[in-house]
Amino acid sequence: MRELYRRTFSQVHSSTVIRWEDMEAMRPKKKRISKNIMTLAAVIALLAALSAAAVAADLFGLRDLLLGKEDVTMLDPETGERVENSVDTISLAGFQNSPENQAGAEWQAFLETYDDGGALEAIGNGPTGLEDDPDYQRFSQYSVYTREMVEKLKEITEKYDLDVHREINIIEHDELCRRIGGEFLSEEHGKYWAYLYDDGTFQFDGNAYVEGYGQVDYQLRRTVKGVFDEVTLNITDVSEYNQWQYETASGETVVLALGPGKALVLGDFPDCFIAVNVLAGTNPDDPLWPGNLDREHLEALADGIDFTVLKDVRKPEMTGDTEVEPMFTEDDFYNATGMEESFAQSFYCEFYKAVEEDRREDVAGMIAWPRVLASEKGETLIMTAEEFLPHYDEVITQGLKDAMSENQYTEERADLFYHDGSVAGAGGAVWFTLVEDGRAGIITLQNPEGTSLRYGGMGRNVAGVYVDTQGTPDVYSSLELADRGDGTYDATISLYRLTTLEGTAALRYDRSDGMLYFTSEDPRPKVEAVIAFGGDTSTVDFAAVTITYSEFEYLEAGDTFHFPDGKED
Amino acid sequence: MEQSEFQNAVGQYQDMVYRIALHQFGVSQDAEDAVQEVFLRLYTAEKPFEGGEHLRRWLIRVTINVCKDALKSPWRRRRVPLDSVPDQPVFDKPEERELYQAVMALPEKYRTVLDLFYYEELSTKEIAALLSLRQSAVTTRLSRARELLKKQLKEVWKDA
Repeated sequence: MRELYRRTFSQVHSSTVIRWEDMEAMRPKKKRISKNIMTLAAVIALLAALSAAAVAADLFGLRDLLLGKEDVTMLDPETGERVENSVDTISLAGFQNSPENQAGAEWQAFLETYDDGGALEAIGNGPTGLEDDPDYQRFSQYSVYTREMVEKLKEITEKYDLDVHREINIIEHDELCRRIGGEFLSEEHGKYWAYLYDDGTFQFDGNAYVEGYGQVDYQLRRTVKGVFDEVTLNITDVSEYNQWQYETASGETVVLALGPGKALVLGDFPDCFIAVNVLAGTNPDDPLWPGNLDREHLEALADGIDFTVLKDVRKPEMTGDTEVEPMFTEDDFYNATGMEESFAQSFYCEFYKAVEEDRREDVAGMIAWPRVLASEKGETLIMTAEEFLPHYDEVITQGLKDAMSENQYTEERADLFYHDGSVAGAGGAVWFTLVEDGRAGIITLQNPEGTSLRYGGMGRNVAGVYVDTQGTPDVYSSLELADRGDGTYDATISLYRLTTLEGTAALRYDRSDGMLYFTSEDPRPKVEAVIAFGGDTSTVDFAAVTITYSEFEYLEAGDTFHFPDGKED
Repeated sequence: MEQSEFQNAVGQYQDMVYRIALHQFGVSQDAEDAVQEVFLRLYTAEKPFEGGEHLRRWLIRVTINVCKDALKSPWRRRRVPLDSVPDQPVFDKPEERELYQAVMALPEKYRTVLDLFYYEELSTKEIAALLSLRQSAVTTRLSRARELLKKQLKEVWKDA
């Protein structure tokens, strides 16, 4: 996975031109009190007085949301030149007569005069030193990181008698609807994940298909009244907007505002303030959000939002983030592997722990024997756990341990996937399956250095005659396998000065080890053996026969006969 | 910092900064803004770096900080469907494009840990420190992110 990830994102490049010569001019200026902000506090009382009349006259609009101007530096997307711009900023918490708006204005005024860059840079992501402070904890959902900021926010919220956001959940749209009281988007709207606060404030980034226009992207935020909210919106220049009141399909009256680079839908209700920030305006050449939106388009967009559902705020259940659905269900996993996923996790995690703790006998005991040890030195048949121990370090390397570790979520859970009836962990470095008696066994281990412990020949054509010449021109012993066309072989094992065994050899699918299991034919004394193969991935060059059961007096379980001198097809 | 050192840092780490920011924002324009801000902070940092790795770690931290600042003001973020992102890279292979799109479609909290873990090769402990999270939260996010990717990219994932 890491390799694919790196390969993919190595093709992602920044196109911004960063030049030393531009940096000095862009260096932040000393913080100063914005003239607009300075006057803002002074006019708040006046605006509050005026607002009562404005309500009666239905004159509310963008200007009644203004917090002030903000100086921003942008790069012109056409020329790459630096452009200074002073933009209008509006509150999304309510109109200017509201305590929410006034609290937001005071907070913005404070931030304008506050040396946030220096303090934030000094703190970085380290501890603020305020972690145990109940006030700091209370403001955990806000951008505060110094004692001074905590005190100021405390002062403002007390002054305006506002509660604060305390908890946030990230949830899917359906879950949002369940928690806030119902579906509020029409079929034309996309349904995206949302951020939901404990007081009922929420927001999400969405889009909608507007008849006659196409897809429009937007952001919707419902801010609950009585709660302090610091979110603001840059609208560039308030004088460039056309505004009108509109009664939506749901029967609620909202303010619509159409500007060159964006449009807004604003709803002021007793319990909440709703703002939809539409990422398109009337200017097809707008550098950020080109659009060709008209009044009807914006009204159609607003019609797709049921404000009657949104305007009534109820305190949502905060039952956590939406859990991501697992990749597969238990049923899928069981049907594909014959194992419950929990069983597979348990087996694999036990193996992981044994590797981590260097419990070599336990590790070897969890591997399904026999296996073929394949490395650049060649291939060796390993029949038992005991035989494996001298080779342990060739297979269980630090590279393999790292692969296992980085795919381990917790001690009890690993990143597992399945394929062809087997289960893999460590990104495919470890494979296991059910072997016998309901037990699981490791069937493949492959480390980054190229050494593997694996099956012995499945998928390859193993028919032919394997011989042992003992270094001479003559054949001393041989293994002859004739394909019967059904995955089994007629097998003849001629062992020099011992005997000739005839019987059948077949794969055992329950073991998935790629070896052939030989059983001699009656009436001779019964002999059983496993036959493993070596060679590269496409051909087989040698074989080994290991006796696993014998009623023949000159053969014992564990006897191994090698046929190293090639195969004659 | 001398001009040559600065330009070397830009040449060496601009794509890294962009990549981290892109994972944070999911939108290339915001990520490009972050690139500019991060190197402005480097320009004004006036601090000595003890070698390339120190500089790299510092840039990762500052990039995360810059993005977090921007994300704290959510209405400054912009969301654009992937299909309409004009500068989406052209990838060599279909599975790379699929992976890119799948990653960019994840919630931001999953994207960032994926990049820091898989590309920048930071440990979960280091990621936890950078993102002010518990280490267990990082592993959980990685787990969920991978499960989501697997769900969408079964074939690609298996081939990986």
